[in-house]
Amino acid sequence: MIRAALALVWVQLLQMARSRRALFALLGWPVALTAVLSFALGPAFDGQLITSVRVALVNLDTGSTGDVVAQFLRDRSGFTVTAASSQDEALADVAKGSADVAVIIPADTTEQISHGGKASVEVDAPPSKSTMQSVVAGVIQGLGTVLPVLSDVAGKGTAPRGLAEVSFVSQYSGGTALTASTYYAIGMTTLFMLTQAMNRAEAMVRDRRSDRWQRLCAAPLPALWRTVAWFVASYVLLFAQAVALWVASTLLFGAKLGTPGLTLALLAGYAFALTGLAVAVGYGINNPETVDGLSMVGANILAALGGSFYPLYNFPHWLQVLGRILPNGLMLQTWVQTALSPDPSALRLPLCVFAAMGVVCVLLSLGQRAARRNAV
Amino acid sequence: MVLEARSLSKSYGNKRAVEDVSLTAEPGDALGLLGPNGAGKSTTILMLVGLLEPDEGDVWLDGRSIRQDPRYFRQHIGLVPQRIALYERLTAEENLRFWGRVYGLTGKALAAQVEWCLELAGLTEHRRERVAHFSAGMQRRLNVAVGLVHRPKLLIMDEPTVGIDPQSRGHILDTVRRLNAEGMTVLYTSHYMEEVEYLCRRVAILDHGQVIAYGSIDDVRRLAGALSTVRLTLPEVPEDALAALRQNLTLRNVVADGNTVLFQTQEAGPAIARAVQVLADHGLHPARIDVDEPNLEAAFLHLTGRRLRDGGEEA
Ligand SMILES: Nc1ncnc2c1ncn2[C@@H]1O[C@H](COP(=O)(O)OP(=O)(O)OP(=O)(O)O)[C@@H](O)[C@H]1O
Ligand SMILES: [Mg+2]
Repeated sequence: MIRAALALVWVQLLQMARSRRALFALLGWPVALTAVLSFALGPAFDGQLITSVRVALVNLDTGSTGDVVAQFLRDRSGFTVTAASSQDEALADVAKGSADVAVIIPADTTEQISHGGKASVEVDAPPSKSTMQSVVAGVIQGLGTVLPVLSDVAGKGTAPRGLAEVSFVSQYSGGTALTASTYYAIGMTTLFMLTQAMNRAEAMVRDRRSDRWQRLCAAPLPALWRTVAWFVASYVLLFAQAVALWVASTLLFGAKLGTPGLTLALLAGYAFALTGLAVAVGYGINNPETVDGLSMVGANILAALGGSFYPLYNFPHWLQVLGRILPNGLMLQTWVQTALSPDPSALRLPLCVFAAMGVVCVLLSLGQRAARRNAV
Repeated sequence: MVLEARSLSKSYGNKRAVEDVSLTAEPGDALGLLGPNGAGKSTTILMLVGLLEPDEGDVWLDGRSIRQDPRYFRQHIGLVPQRIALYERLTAEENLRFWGRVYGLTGKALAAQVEWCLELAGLTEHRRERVAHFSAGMQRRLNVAVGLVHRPKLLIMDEPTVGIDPQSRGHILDTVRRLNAEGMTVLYTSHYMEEVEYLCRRVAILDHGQVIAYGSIDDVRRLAGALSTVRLTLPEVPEDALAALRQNLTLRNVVADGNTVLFQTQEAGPAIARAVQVLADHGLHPARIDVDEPNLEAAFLHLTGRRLRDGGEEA
């Protein structure tokens, strides 16, 4: 029976692999859109990401560059900047939660930059705020290119023309800047896996109405194995898509998606939950048009709420909470966090949620099938 | 008895699709299920193979009830669904291999069965072509062959020749006839009465979900009370010969039409013998004899007042 079920998995994968359209939906389109978003929308993303990061800023710079940086941060729409008098005070603000991120501009900033050196601005935040930390770090890193212009505008010609290099350091290990390509690689992978799951559900509904399905049901392969085979084939497809997107974003678009082990674990868990969803929808709904509509509208709404199109940090608080409850939102947030500061323990809860969701969905669909008195 | 269905009924919502249908098939039997669109043929078949649970009634295969031993049904019935039931992006061979595996075949047995089926379907040369690139006739032939891959005891076919070219149709009919002659029990569904007459020994005519006639083909034909029409072509038709023919009571409605004498009769064979003798007495020898046999079409017409095909639904 296992052989028969494996044969069923295999023909489904073959059917898929031989359809140019299906392959495009599985891989071509997701890679293309990820590319567009990470390159074309990159500047917009870097420009106005955050609405509500509270920054405790210490400007120790003896020259004028520090002022330019401070002013730049104050002017950003998403930042609320408060001045702290010392490094300790800024860190204390962050520790007690009255600020999210501490930014310390060191005393030698102007000097370093005017000698063509490298200024090291410190950006600190507790691990729970690592996403915000990364966003701020990303902005500061991006400052290098605009600093000369900013200095001119401010009438303080201390910075040299040409590129200045501003790096950031952190007291916390592993901090990485969150870039557009990283964010959209994650957002798009999350979205397209969801869409693919819905495609699978629709394929399943169509198949269930076909005479081929009748023929399959009239064969000695037990119903449970049919379901298992559908699940496995869908899982393989989703997981393959995820890995392909992950590799493409890393190699082609320079996304930094975190350590392979944690990323694979997350992808495996998310794919499991989505496959469960696909099978439940595939068994629960009889009209393929309904599923089609669901995947067109539903998946996109979910993706929007989950932050795939536009970073969640811009949303009102309640929407952010909602986004975190959605499986794709949970995936996105966990993945972003993991990419920025790998922490296995942060994966525990999401993985449990994904596993539970997958199992519940499969049980539901088995129940639905049993409730129908007929084999078909 | 290989197959026995007793008092099957099935409703879809308020619509009674099948009502009190009973059928049997002996080993090696070829039973036709004939009926217009929407008569309930497919519904009946779905119940016979256990894909649809009857509201009432039961089905036995080799004495095992479908409710108690559905696995036995799955293993020993070959189903050929009404619509093409294949993986269209797989080749003919891949399809056969897959369905063979689903029936538990492996290794040499699988390979041998696949060859046999390709041969049967006349697709050996096209084994590595994808089904999507096949003509309708080739797809139909493969559709039938897949139902045979595990050499079922009972082959159940639901309108296997719909919409294909005459060659492929002939190919399928001949194949099934041969398998039946070799001992496979066949249940053949169609709304083409010629196919059923060609293939089957017995027939059940279904209309509005009910069996309206059931028995050997000849019995069912006779149900219609329809007469054969005989046409004798002669050099000339003299009045006295005509009068002599009319005196014979088994020859009815004797008329002349140019050089042809027409009459109707219950049993064509003896009637023709008698007529030829009467004509010989008058020095006449028919150049040609044509008989229009009573057929299932006529029987259906007689029983329902409607034709079997086209517009069977609206009454
Ligand atoms: N799933 C279904 N739901 C509701 N009604 C159905 C369903 N399947 C069939 N019917 C109805 O039941 C009746 C019998 O249908 P069935 O398909 O068994 O007829 P059929 O003899 O196979 O016709 P055809 O020659 O067109 O294949 C028809 O009136 C059909 O409309
Ligand atoms: Mg039918």
